[in-house]
Amino acid sequence: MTDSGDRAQSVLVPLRAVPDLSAIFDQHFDFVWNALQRLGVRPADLEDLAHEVFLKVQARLGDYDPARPIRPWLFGFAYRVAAAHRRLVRHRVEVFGHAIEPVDPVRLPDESAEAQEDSELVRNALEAVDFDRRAVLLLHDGEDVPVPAIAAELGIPVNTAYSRLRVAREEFGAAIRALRSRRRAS
Amino acid sequence: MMQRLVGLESRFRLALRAVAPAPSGSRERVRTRLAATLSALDARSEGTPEGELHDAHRAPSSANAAPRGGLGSSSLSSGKLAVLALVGGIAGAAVLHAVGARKSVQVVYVDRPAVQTPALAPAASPAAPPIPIAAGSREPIATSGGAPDIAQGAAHGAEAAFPSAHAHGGAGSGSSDFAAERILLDEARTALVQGESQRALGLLGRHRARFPGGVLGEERDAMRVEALVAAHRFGEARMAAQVFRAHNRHSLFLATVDSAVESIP
Repeated sequence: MTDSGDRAQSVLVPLRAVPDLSAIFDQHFDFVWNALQRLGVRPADLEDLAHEVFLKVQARLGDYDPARPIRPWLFGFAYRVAAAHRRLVRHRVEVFGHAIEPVDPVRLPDESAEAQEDSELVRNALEAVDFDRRAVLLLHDGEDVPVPAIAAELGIPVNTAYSRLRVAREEFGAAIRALRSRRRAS
Repeated sequence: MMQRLVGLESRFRLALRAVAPAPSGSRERVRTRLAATLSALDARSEGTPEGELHDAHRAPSSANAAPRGGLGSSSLSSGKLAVLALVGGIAGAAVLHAVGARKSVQVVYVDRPAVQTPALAPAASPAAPPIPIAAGSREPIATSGGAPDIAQGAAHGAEAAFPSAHAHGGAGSGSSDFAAERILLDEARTALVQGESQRALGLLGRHRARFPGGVLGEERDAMRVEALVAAHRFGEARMAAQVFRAHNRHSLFLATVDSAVESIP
């Protein structure tokens, strides 16, 4: 783009300042916490990993493009931190066995009983979804991030992202159905 | 598949999008720990004079520049707080001269709520105070709603910074010793997560030497197993894990130790 083009662009696109870590922490701590939780981080490790996520966010704050939504960007940190943690501790989760860890029962204050059940069901069903695929599912179906953007954020080919989303949905749907059946039976 | 998912899971998609609030205690503990870590990292990386360490309000040099001293800004005041983060007594140039060969030792004092009962949390003031103290000040700031023992910990900040200059275990040194222990372990944890396992091991060794009977010894020994694994010193890690298990049969850190050993290829 030419200089004049740049100037025109700068006029058309409002400048947005990069938020500082304080603002990000205040506004998105809950999101990061939930992301880590949904990525399968054990309750006992959530604080350590949330701390690590924000440390990494601070280190890369200069790379953030304010024109982009921040949640997918933050999710990328949570995903990588959780992935590294999993590699270290080799978490093993079996969905239909007895290895599902109880999920921290944090609930929205205005949740109805049914919504609370749904939340719990979703959290448990997510455990059935492969970790890498789960990240794609959370970003796309949870955050409405387009698949190409997810691929860019996670550093994977676009076709792989689509494939992961498809399988993740299958796994997620199957887990929901299985858990509901179990709930009805009990 | 997409249609099937949407049809089947519309109510579950709502649950998927919901962001449940994190426990306020966790939020504040992470906030405090983060502020302390960033201050320590900032001090270490730049060796700034103490007066500049917590100048959290300085503007970034450009729109894309990463703001510094992130958690020290006044915007932190929006959270509910049970934490008193007392940051002060930075070892500056004068202390460096006094200590001699000790290079760039800068310490942030933070009394964490981890040893407090959760009952402290609801007593928090509605506005969370800035964590680091004002630039250049040596006086610890007791934030509103704070517990007296935490304020006392701040008063002993200098002792906590250089415990070698004072007798350990003396009257009134408990909270400062704890703060110093906490700082060392937080630094070690930070080093560990940043992949600096050797530095983490060094810090853990310092902790052992300085606080052989420290209240956080169990956490230190568990973290040492993780650091040894991270350093690929697998044999030592297994031995350290065995010793840990033998001495801490009911430790909450057993899972951490076991996980670290299990991760050995």
